Amino acid sequence: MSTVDFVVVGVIALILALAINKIVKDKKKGVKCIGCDACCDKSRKR
Amino acid sequence: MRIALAGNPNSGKTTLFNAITGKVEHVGNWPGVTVEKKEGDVKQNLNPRKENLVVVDLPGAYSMSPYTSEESITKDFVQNENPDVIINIVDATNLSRSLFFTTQLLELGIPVVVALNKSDLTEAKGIAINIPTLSDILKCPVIATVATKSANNGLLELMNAAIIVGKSQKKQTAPFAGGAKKASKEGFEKADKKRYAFVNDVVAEVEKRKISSEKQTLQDKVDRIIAHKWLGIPIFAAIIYLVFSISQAWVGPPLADIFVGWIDLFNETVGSLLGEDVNPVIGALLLDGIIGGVGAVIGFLPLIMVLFFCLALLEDCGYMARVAVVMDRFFKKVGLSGRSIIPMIVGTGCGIPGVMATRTIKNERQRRTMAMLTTFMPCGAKLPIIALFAGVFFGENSWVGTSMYFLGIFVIIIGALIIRQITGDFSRSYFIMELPEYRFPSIKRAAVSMLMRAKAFIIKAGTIILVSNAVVHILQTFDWQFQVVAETAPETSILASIATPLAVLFIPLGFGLWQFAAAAVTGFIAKENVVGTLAVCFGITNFIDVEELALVGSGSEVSAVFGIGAVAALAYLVFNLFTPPCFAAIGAMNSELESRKWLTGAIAFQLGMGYVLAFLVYQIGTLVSTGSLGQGFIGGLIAVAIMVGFVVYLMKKGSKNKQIFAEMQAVKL
Repeated sequence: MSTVDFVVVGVIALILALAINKIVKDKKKGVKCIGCDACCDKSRKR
Repeated sequence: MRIALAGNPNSGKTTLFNAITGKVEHVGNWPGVTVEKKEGDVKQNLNPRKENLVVVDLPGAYSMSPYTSEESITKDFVQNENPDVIINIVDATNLSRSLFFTTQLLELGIPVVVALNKSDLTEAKGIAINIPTLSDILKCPVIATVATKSANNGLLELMNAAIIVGKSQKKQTAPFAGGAKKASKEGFEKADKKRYAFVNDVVAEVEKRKISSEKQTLQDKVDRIIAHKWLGIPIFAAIIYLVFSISQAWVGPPLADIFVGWIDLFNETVGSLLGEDVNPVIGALLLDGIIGGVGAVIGFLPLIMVLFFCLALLEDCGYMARVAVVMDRFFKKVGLSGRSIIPMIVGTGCGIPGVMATRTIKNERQRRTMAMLTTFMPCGAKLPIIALFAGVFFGENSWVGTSMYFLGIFVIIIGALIIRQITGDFSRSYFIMELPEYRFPSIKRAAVSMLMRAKAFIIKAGTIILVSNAVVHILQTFDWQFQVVAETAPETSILASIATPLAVLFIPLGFGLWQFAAAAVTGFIAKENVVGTLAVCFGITNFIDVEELALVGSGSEVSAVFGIGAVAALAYLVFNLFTPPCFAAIGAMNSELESRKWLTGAIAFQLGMGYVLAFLVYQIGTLVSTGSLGQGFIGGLIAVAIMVGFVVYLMKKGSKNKQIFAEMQAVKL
């Protein structure tokens, strides 16, 4: 694999990591549908 | 300080909440839009002393005796979570109905401030309310508000009043002492009658109406046409056709062309940056799998935005509530009611809030039936699939989208009929719905609603769809020995080998190709994935600029790329729209159905419905267009006969339950 290949693989890995991170974060927050919490219960736990 | 917003449905609570907090929660001009509580901090300009103010928006309720499950959320919150202040939103144009709940809130001992909302409409309706007298009688501050206005809306006065009564910590005194003992049903009825009498006395004292409510208004005259039992349906069909024409033929495609041009430019720029030095497999993953796959889905964004803008205008002007009245007649015949239309309308945006909106239905069987069937309405995520097949195979014809909406309604009616027979519960409920005032739709509110949905669509495309497309691309690139698949032998890929056995089942439906099977399966993760997966599998990154791809016209070139004709494409569209929704919506169904048995039944029913409908579309369509039946007719017919036979068996079994229900009713009487 050339240097360019490594760079491209790195970019792909970064994009996927960011996407997965957002999915996991939303799931932990209890968001039902990734990217949209419009219909979720938005009361803060006290 | 915690401030609860409570009031009757469609009194403007969420509009007020958005105005106070600066949030953009979904509002609609009909009762029952909010089914969950929402919290937000008060905007700085309404909180000059920078107090710690948290506002909680609650679902609408007519009384403290909850009738539906979302009303219970309101009751439980104000009774158990001890807010410091309750802002009771009262519809100034409908004082007599609103004050029943007000008097109950005043009995809780929690300080109350009444927001006399929609005060701008009172003058036009010839209503004059003596606010100081009302405040004296209710023993709490009463502030006139107009939540839809950006200035001189009374919100600062309202917040100041809420802070003062909240800080005073004085126990709220009630103007009405609750009435008779409520140990029995008769006790409750007696107490309610007393309360109504008190409310009527209050209204008589503080309200002067110049126009008698018995007099026919312009709105009544319009309703006589729009909500007419025969004219209502063609008017509804014409409006939906118009909405689809605007979004998918007139305004959407030119905007999409420009947008897709940018995506193509981005793809080409990245391609030229990579040059010839990069490994073709890695380059293809980035260009075709990630950018191409996501780009193919995102390309439909302008069409979706225009559609949502039009639907938001319809919601805002008050028309959708009339649709509920028009549909009530048909829904009643299958054991539902016009109230069932609310989840369907909400479900056109997204199936999840649609399923959650079934909470507004009191009857358990009706509620579960609608939780099972609501997702048959084409949601926002299914629009790219509709737009793709309508655009590529039917020349952007608006009848495709319109017919899918009406097919959705038809399938829900048929489904409700079947479920009623299976459960044997033939109980009926009567539909009473307050029709909201017609109003000129707010462009701002429609734009905000559209932008919120667009944001959600982009985030979804950049997360779950991106990951799915990357996985699909990798599975399509390699075989089980992890060797790159030859371009001439794509059927040796991991994806093809997984999807091929499934594709066999789809031969009687006209799309027995592994690419279509794979796309249908990824659609369960998110329905937009169907488009993304087809883009990755067929190597097409632009579904919008179809002329450039020379796909529009005879349809033969489309068939050459996709390997199917227009009839099979329509069958595939129907299959994807009427099989189970995405996993997130199935999760919402699970929560609302509250029964594993019902959920299993729902998924099986949806799978069966999608299969049967696609079979009928393909086989009948092929027979009509070619004069002979399509491929795999016998196999498909056997599968369909087994499914139909099983449903008939369950329906016959259900008729025994009907007798049991009838006996139970007789015992009750």
